[in-house]
Amino acid sequence: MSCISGANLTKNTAGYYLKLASRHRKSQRDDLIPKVKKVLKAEPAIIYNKVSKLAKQFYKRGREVMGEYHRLNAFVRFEAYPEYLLVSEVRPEHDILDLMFSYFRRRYPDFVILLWDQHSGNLSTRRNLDFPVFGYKRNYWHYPRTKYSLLMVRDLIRSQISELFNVDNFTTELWEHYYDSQYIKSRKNIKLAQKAIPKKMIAKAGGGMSYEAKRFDEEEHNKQKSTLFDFLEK
Amino acid sequence: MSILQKLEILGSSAKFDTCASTASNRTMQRSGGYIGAPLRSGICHSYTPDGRCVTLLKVLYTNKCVHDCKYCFNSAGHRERASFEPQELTRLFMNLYVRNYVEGLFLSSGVCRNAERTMEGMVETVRQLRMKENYEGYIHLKILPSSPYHLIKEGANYADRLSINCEAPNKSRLQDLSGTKDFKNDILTRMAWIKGLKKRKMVPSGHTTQFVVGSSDESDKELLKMSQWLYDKMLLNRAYYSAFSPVKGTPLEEREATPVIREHRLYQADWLLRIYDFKFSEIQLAFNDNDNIALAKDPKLLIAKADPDRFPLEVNEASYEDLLHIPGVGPTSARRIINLRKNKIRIETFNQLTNVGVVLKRARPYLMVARKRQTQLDNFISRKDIEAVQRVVHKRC
Repeated sequence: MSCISGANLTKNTAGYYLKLASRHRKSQRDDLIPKVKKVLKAEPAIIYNKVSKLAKQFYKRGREVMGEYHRLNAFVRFEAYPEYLLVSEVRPEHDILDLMFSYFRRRYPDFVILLWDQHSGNLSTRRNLDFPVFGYKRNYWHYPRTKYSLLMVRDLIRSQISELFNVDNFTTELWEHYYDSQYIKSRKNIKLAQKAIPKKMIAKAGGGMSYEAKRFDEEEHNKQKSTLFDFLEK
Repeated sequence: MSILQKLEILGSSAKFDTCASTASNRTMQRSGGYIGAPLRSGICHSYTPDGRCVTLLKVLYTNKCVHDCKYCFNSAGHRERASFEPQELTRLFMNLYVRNYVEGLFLSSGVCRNAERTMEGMVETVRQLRMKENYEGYIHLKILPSSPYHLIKEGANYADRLSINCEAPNKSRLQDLSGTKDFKNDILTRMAWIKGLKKRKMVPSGHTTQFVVGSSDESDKELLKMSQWLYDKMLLNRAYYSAFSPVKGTPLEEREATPVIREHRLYQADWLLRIYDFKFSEIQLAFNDNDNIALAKDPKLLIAKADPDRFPLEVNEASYEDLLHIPGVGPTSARRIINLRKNKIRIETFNQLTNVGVVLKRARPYLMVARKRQTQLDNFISRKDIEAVQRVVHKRC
């Protein structure tokens, strides 16, 4: 599956990475991408096989964008509302909201998907919900951050939904029970778990990983600390 | 019993089952009116505090079981017993899937009364998911030992991946663990049926198996030999190794837990067999006198040390197969080195090798770059001197 909508690219090629790296937050500011394009024209094997420092830096950027896209697709949790509406808040660092949207559109083709990036002020939906105050930019709705607060946006979304705006707590409870049932205490390895879900990613997933973060904290604080009493007991 | 209680009981009963992949090559025919989509690469939706990924809703259909497996969580007498109804499990799963908590369903089970009856319920669950809920995502269906062919075939129509657990590497080892399972008839025959279905392109993600490591004094050699046989003869996609950990109330509760590092070493050796195309005779170089892989070192490093005549290899001349034998060089970096050679670009420095993805810390003693190699002890002392020192040390010991 190519993550780049509309582009017919084979995964892991330099062209694929070029598309990804150009979405990197830093690529808007520096000249890495033009430099890479220049080398690609002259000596493509240098870039393809990652042999120079520039190529390494370029692939690193591509990987960072890909990593964020892949992890957010996994860590985002939706709130399900009547009329097949799925809402989630995300805070991506790079320009990947439209990629995420295409991914979820394929997964839930009959749902209205609303990805809400509070940081950049972007709302991504498939069906045209009527948001008169927002401007339409590229693939998603845009609202000027300075003008509308988070609460106002939430109210606007609520006003679009005909039935009661109720959060389904039961599924969250189901998940928490299931999550706890999968833990094998004898194999506890908090460091490995934290490496897989870094704190930065928990923030980006907009609350989707809050239960996991809570459990990691609990397990970390449960470490047996030896006291003076333990020492004397020995 | 409430659905939450059932989920807790049947979820924790399935936690020792291993299923890492959610990738499927299945192509979808529909453009709408469905929910879920198969992915070509895996995805992990969460991680538990033990560092294992939670990607599928991994539950048992029932934890009532007629088998007497000595290591098994479900054979502990004091357990609370529970079963799902197909519709109940289907709804529960769809609730979690729509909210993006899980990537698919992994359905296993104990054997309640007989395998046919339980398997019918499991197949009905996956049938409802596909036909009623129009679910197009990933399903991994466990095949119960001694299940009839028609149910395995029907399950293959709906599931992406099938699996049947070997648990032990051979007949005698399985007999040590269970008095009710027949290794050849109940397991290998079913596996051969799945192989037949795979050949007819009915199981898009293939089939897998699982071994419980350390529950029956089996050696790593036995396990890897069996895995190799399954890869060759049964077209198995992957073998999983699960380190034994004692469960209270089971006959093996007093037995020591298998160190997790043994599981890790087995995966490394298995990787060499499947991905690096090592021969089993080469893997044998990593075994110690007890036919186990030494826990302290990576098997690839042990194999390289046991075959010193092969090294050092000149990076700019070695074949792809030879490059793969160097510790710290994987398929990706080996492919890149060969690609550079095809484009007439020579590797001249160790730094270039790092950029290509080689782990120099491990690879350095085994390779040469532009005829230069890491300085060895031999550069300072002659071979004769080293042998003389070795003789003295040997005598003193």
